[in-house]
Amino acid sequence: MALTTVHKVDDDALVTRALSGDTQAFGELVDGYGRVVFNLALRMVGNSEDAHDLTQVTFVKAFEKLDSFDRRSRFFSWLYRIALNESLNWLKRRKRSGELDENLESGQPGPDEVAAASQEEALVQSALMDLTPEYREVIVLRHFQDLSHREIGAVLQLPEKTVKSRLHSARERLAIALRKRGYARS
Amino acid sequence: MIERGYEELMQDVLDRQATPEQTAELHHWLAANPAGQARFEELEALFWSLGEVREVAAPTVLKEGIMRALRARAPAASPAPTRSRRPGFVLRPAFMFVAGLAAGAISYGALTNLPAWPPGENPAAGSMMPSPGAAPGSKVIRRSWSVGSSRVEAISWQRAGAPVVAFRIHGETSLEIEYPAETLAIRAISQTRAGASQVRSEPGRVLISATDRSEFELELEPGGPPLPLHVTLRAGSSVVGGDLPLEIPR
Repeated sequence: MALTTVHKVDDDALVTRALSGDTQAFGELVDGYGRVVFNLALRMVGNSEDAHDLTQVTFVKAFEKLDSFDRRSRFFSWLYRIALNESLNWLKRRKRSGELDENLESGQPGPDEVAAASQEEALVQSALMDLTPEYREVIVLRHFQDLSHREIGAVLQLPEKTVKSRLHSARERLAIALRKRGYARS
Repeated sequence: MIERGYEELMQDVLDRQATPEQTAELHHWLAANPAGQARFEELEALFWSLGEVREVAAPTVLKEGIMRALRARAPAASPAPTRSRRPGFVLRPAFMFVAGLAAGAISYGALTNLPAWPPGENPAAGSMMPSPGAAPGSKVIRRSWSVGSSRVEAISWQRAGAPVVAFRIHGETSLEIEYPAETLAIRAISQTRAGASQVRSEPGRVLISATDRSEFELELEPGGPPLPLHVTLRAGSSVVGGDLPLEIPR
């Protein structure tokens, strides 16, 4: 079972109200998407504390930039793009500073994540962290956010064909990373 | 070796992106192709494993933190925050204040993701603690002060040829940072980690009030000798303080 379904909130009406300064309406968008954005960030960066921070940053940025949101596109695509950009920027900064914490460096989830997840989940998350962010994001969007190829294309601003090709390569690499960890299923 | 067309078709079927005709075509092909069947089962197992990953509940304080930041971002008394646009600057989505313009102004902190705090001596390893992005060869200077249950950790380093200092605050605290205004200017102040806080900046002094874990970064503009900042930490009636040397570019 894939992780999430997009919340059926009336995004457009809520965006309109939020644009007029109604923070309560924006709060409803947070209610609708907080969990999915948190999970998106969690799978991208691999630990819940950083995912929490990134989720907050994502929503604050979304609020600040709401007037630049193109109403012809879907709110969740736009929000996911902000969340992914924030996650990617965070990963780049960590890499650049050479201060990947031990969990990320070893591709292992942190103790909190291990405690909360099954062994299988922990292995998958750990293998996921072996992928480059470009591959990781398509896996996360497809398998954990349950987006279609077209929706992934809208979030990443890529043609569907590229999304498919990237997904195929990402799965190949993920299977290798799982095998490397002695994971038998794949 | 599976033909590329069938490999793609297998993944399309598993992705639920194939038409019924394409699905039928694949199953017809698989029935006569054991290698293809094995590959399909391998992919099915991978999809299954990915599907086993559960959604995690968001922290209960998530919405509260976001709404608090939104409420705090535009009080009538606050100046409009200015975002850093300088290329090369590691932007933390925080509220930035140009110090020269910030005299007497009060602003409220927002939130952000963080640079990584220098490694070692880090009680919060694994969090989004700051990375100084220090220039090669540049020193990182650390100081910390504690009073009661409040604590401030400070570091100073050099980034892009200019001194930078960061403060990590734990507990309900009032922090005063004094600097020689005649030889030092504050280019920007950013809150690099969410936390209820108030910042007041005036020439020669920055006051930060925080009620929970917060982090701030000050970008400085030296115009004279490398005099240290003086940091005073107040919690209740207790006061401690000391100097934080700056790593001034040579």
